[in-house]
Amino acid sequence: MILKSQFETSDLNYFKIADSVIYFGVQRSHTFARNYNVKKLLTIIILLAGFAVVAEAQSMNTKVNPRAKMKSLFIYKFAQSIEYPEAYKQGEFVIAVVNDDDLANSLRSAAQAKSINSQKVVIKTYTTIAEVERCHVIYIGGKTQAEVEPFSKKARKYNALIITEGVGMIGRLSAINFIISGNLIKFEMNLRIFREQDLTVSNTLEKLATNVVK
Amino acid sequence: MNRLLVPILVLLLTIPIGLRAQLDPVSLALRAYQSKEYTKAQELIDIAVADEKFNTTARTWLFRGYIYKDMYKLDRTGPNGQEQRANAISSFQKTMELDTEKEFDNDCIPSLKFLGSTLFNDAATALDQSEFDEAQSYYNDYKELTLVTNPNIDFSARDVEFKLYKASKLSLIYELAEADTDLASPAQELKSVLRIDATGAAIIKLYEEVIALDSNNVSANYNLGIHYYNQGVNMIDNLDYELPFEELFAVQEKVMELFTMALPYMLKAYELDPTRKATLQGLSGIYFGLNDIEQSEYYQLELDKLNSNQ
Repeated sequence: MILKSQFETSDLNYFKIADSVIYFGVQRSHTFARNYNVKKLLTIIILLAGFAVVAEAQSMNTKVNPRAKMKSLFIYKFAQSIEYPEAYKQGEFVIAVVNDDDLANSLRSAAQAKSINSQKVVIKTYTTIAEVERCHVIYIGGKTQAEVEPFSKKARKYNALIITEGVGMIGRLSAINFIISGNLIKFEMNLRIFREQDLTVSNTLEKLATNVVK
Repeated sequence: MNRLLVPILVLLLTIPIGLRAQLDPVSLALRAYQSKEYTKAQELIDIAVADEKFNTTARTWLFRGYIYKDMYKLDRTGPNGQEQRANAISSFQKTMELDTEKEFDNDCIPSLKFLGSTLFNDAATALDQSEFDEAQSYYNDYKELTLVTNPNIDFSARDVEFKLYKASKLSLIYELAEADTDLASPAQELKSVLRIDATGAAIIKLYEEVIALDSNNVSANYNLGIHYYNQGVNMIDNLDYELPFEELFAVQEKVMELFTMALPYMLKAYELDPTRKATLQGLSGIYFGLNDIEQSEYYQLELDKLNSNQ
């Protein structure tokens, strides 16, 4: 056939997905790329597709720790629901965190834009008992009561709202304790510790608690 | 084109009959083609196919197919590329229609396969450029053409590839938009143009379609799991600190629902490939989100073991 030499074999490029995207297309005009920004974004997307050679096409959001964010939301709500002694209504509103960096970071990012009871919010992290000082709220992370107790004991010297997380903590170590119930983060309260800390708690908070120790 | 018609007719009328065969528009087109004068070849072959004397001959259409195919190959992305390909395809198809003896099947079928492959590639290119409607159109054309050369073809595997690729591209835009909630942002604008809703329903549908076609597709299972997980995480991330307490509980329940929906897909991806690091990270993250720390730590440990073995 006279035209045989003109034929070329198929150069089909297969779609590859997820961790081995190999297809890189030829640039064409974008029918809906109405402005520069969209074109720029499309360029970013094409570049990102290139990175997919070594990564998943759909990447997991690892920037946000959902538990930490949820607990930080709760802690802000707790703080807003509590009446502090007069001496604590001035100056900075200090929230201290022990043993939970993600929670501290989450609280810190919110603190930039939020105030509590018109007080500027400051987040502190404590790694030793000696560091524990006057604060409004202290979250003490730790799996065992032995781990939590020394921090709790020191914090009891101040009118601090002591928050813990774990089974058995509410009895004598904290005023509020996070628990997991049906996959959800819930909380229980110890009103005795609230009284001892001279903190007045709103009825709403009490109603939302899973368990209230009188 | 008309400027050539008159000289050709004059030539045909004035030259001896024996020479006429060599100087008919098909022969002239062929000569032009052989000397790589493609534009001239195209004009001549188009004259030929407009002439009843030539347009009932399979060979005429075959030559036209080759001429347009080569023109397309020289200028695929040019302004006439699409038209040239369309002309090449229709010419080869016409050849096959007229070629009752199947003399030219060995020319037409590979050529149509090649042109089909370019449609497939263009579909991928369009997806890369987020031109999803165009991509679908190319893909439909590819399938239609492929059926001509292979009527019994099963497109399931191709459909999986196309849908998965499309879904992953849409996911990318969805995630960029989720990370930039400013409605005037380019990502949000693109999301709006592409009609991707808040939950990414179109993306979910595509992944589900892939899984329906291939339940053992690791990427589809993983990506759908991640889609639900990210949706839950984004929902938490966007929560306002002024949200009333009661609503906080309601949102938390919704988020847990999303994490719960993510889990079976991620577990399936794990079942299909237990040593895939991304899946282990996904499972650890989902269980962590579900507040099942024990399970989360189990998969994190599996991941750590894999990492330490390398």
